[in-house]
Amino acid sequence: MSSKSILVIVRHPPHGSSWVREGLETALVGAALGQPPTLLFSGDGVLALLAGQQRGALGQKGSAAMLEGLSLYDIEPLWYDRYSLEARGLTLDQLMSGCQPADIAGMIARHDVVMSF
Amino acid sequence: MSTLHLINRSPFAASALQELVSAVSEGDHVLLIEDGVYAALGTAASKWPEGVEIRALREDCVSRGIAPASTLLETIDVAGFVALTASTDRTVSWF
Amino acid sequence: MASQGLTYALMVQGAPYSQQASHSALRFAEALPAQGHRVATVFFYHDGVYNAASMMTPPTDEPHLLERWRALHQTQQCELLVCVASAVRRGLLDHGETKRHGHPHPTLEAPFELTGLGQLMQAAHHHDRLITFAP
Repeated sequence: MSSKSILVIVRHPPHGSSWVREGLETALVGAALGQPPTLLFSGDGVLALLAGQQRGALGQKGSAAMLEGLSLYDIEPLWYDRYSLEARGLTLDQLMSGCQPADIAGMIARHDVVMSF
Repeated sequence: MSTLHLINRSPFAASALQELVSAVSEGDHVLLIEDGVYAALGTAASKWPEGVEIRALREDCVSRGIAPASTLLETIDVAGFVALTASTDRTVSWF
Repeated sequence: MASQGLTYALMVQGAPYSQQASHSALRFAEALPAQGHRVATVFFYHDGVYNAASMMTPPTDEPHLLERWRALHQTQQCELLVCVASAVRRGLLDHGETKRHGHPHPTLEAPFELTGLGQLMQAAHHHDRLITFAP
């Protein structure tokens, strides 16, 4: 397989839709094929990084457990947009471990392919 | 090396344009499609990021009754859309 | 401007007739050959999997999206790949999945194919461009 760098951007919050889960599944498959994508959370996507999440209505699985396991697949750190975090009144210590602020413009420019969820 | 940013959400309903400010690099292109073309309406223009070329997809403007003043916003047809995806290195969809 | 024809992968994430994503993706794909390009893979994900619903029956004065995808497959020899995990959850099953789960009729037929996300990653790596059409 020819080698391209892939950036997965998650821009939606967890539980309200399946975007986070589907973005993470895409990233995991990339890792399983030997090329862990870069994973970035921006906009409401940063809300997926909040610590202390639970299952949702009808026992629907959320995405927090998946996120916490990503480092096992060499998908780390969990990059986030600091402006999105600030705009929501949140700070790094409210997020799960392994999160790191990103320079989004530079990150997009460094990757061959960008997938959005 | 440049990026085409595709926006398909109305700026009055979504924050994509604001997030774009920290996501674009000099020389990038932005194409407004679908409900994104409502950003051509006057009050949204002040939020556009600087240093990038912003265009709107003509067919989606016409279907919505939006006629962007040519001095503010250039419109392109679908062939122009295709050409932009070919001349840039990657496309990012904001929705 | 690229000097030679490019191959494209399209990821379609919007449900047909609910959002413009399918219309936008088809409009884009159908415009590629005029500039020497072609769509090689369409990958349906999220609610985009409903584009493959084999019993899709729109009113006659509306575009028939299923037929348009089939025509695209014919004219540009593109794969129409549907994320199996997203599709089966939502009740879109091909012949094999129908038998496996004991349902009476398939709801997804060729040229659409149920595949895993690995195929999306392969398409992203192999083709020159990936364009996402989202809801």
